[in-house]
Amino acid sequence: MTSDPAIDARDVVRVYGATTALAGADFSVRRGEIHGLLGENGAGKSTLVRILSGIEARDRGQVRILGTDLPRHTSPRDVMDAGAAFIHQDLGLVEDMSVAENIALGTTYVTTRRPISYAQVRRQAEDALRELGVENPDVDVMVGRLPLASRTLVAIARALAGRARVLVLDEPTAAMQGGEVDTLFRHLRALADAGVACVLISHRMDEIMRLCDRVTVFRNGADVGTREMGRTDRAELVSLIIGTPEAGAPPPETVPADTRSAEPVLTLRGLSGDGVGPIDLDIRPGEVTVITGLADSGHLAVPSLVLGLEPIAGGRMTLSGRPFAPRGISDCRAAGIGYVPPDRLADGVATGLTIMENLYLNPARPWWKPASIARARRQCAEDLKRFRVHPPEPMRSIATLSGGNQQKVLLGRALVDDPRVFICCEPTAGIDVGAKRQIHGLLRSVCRSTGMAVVLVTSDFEEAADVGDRAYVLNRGRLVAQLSKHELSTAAVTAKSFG
Amino acid sequence: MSVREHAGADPAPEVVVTTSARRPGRENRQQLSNFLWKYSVPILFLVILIGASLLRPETFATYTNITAVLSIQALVLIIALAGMLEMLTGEFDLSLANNTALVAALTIGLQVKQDLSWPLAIGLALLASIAVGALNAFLVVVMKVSSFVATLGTYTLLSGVWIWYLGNQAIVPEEPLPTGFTNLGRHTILGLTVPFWVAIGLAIVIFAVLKWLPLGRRIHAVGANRRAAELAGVRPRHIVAGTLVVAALIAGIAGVLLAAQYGGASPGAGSALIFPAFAGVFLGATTIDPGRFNVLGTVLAVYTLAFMVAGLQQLGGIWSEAWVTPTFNGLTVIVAVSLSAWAFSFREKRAGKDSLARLSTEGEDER
Repeated sequence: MTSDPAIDARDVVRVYGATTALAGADFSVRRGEIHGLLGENGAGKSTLVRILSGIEARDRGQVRILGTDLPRHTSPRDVMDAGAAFIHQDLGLVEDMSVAENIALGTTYVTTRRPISYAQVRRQAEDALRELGVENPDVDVMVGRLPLASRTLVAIARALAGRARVLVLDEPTAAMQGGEVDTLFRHLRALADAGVACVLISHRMDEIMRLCDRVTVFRNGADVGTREMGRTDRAELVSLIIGTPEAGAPPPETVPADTRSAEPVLTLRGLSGDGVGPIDLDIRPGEVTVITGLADSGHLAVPSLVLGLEPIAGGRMTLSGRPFAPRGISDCRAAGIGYVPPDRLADGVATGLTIMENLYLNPARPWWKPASIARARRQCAEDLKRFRVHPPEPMRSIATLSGGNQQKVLLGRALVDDPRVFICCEPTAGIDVGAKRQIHGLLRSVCRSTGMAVVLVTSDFEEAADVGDRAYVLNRGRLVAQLSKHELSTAAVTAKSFG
Repeated sequence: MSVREHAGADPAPEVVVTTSARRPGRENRQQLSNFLWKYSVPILFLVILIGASLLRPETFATYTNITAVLSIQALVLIIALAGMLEMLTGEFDLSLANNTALVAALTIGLQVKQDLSWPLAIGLALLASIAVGALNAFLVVVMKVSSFVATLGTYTLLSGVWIWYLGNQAIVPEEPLPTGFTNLGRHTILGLTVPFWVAIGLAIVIFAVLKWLPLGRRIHAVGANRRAAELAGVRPRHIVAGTLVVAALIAGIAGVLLAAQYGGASPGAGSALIFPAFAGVFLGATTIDPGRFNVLGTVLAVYTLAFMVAGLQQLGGIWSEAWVTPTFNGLTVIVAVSLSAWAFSFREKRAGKDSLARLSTEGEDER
């Protein structure tokens, strides 16, 4: 029994419609080891975690946790009973409760058919924290007043109090400072020495290399290698993550010579704020400029700074050679900057309204200038065809459109103003392949035909390589690479973003 | 872009087309049910008018009765329009009818107690209503208090103010007020009083603004998804503050008309108008443009409720007792709103089935 591995997953398959998220992945973790899990965005790591944690069913394959076979349709409760706990980035702690209370919430309050015994609740919390190697834990402090590393420890302690012997940590350090990372890692090591298996999912290769005993790399929904940390190096891991570049990639489109050397329309110099920077960027007309990086790299913070949605800590911007310091979207719009926010549902679609109302959500006319509904409807039908929205029916509720078509309406909303600079964040997140291709075509064609400067902010490296004319790669809030058209490939972006 | 590629990318419309081609009966049934939902309140309105006219031809189906109901309920309609405007932006204003009551008290009081001329009294009273709206706007937009709580505060505050101003006594003018003033409430045009025409005029203006002006689009945008509106360049705080102030002014206009109608003032007169007004707004949102607060729906709903109550009262006996009006207003709203919410979710479920299925299969991958 004790020789059973902590996690033993074999040949796990998960298919979503046309996409195969996991194509027969194996993943095995020993007791008492810290095991890293590496891979690009979309390699299948998150899907594996969701299946292991019982949130999602697998289509095929076996999963054993500490010797317990888990059925195909299992539940988070069963996984917990088998002895595994999952620490997500959202730790699920109640900030207005004490450490002891939070730990008790995860297990149960200690009662013996009598009112809650707070003394025992505190003792249980102290025991769990001591197991983590925390000396003299203060379990009465409010969780909201703790730094992030300590909160993570509380979440881990809660799992331990629930008798977990396998811990899966999904990007625990994404929002942490350097010192905090060290604290967390010290305690994780103490835990592993006590026989608890830890799985660490991270994009930060140096952290993985520093902490882990072994590492497994995922690519395209399958494991492509497991290495002992002492017998591998960074270069080998990067090549495992990237794989061999695909042969026969489409030749790069030639960029017209006259726009190639065009003066930048928007420049960022030493811009910093919201956890990123300082950043120097040039956005040129007639080009698709990509800003990319791994999920926690801060590339999505760049448009927020440029648009004045987040306060700028330092640096400056120029638009067409003149200083530019917008105080919000309406300033940007007046200056000729169009914007598509990254979260389609929360920040983009007004669900209760029609397609037309969504497309012309904020008409550019002064507030008192009336419009003819009939003319607007004709114009809208034309615009919808131009943006390839299907079906092109202005009066239909936008809620009835597919995600891809909703996204096209959002692109259209910004494009009907004919902006000079078009900033488009994660335009194809969660939409089907056909719509994705159409959106890529749209981005390229507005850029080529009107000389618009298109800024594509994306976490999808394939998209970055397919659509971009120039790419800026961020890592941990810093600009780590600038790739021109002929250097730009999925492999190059991946290589630059890990590290 | 070939036709096939289009269809491949967006399977939803394909499905719709094949379903309707295969099952014309279901499509027709659906159209009928959509029609019934859309015109439920107008149909109810007609049913009540015809039913009550048949039951009480000698009292209900008379010119005097119809014009009286239309005129008397005009103030409710004005307050309902103000409330609807705010609810479109996602805010709720409990203080509206108390604003009406305050303005009514001030309009009379300033003439009788302070000996001001009636136009000046009206002007000052309306300024007071704007001040109340500005206070609401300050609390909601600057202090970020939820509008429900903030206007609950001003609602209570206002009753304190008028009790203080009137000394908790009714004002009965010793000599009659100028006819120029009382005409605002009593003069009739085509058999209908000035307040009715003011209400209709306001309805038309608000309808036009919401439909044809960019301002109306922005108001809808703020109500539908405030964050999206902001990221599209709308300034939601300006829009919300503006509607709160304008709605307060509209409620104030109702107060002036109320004062002119009665030619006197008593503490709290008018404050009870809030209940039928809100009932009208919510019932109105179930019809004409179902699921959305709309002007035509509000107008029809206010008068449907009014004629229903008037008809019941004329039936006599138990139906004319005091508890009938609030009970029926309340019940109608509860039933109508629940039914429309149920119908809305049912229809959404059916329409969104395909796209939900797609959402759960695509793009759940790591992003």
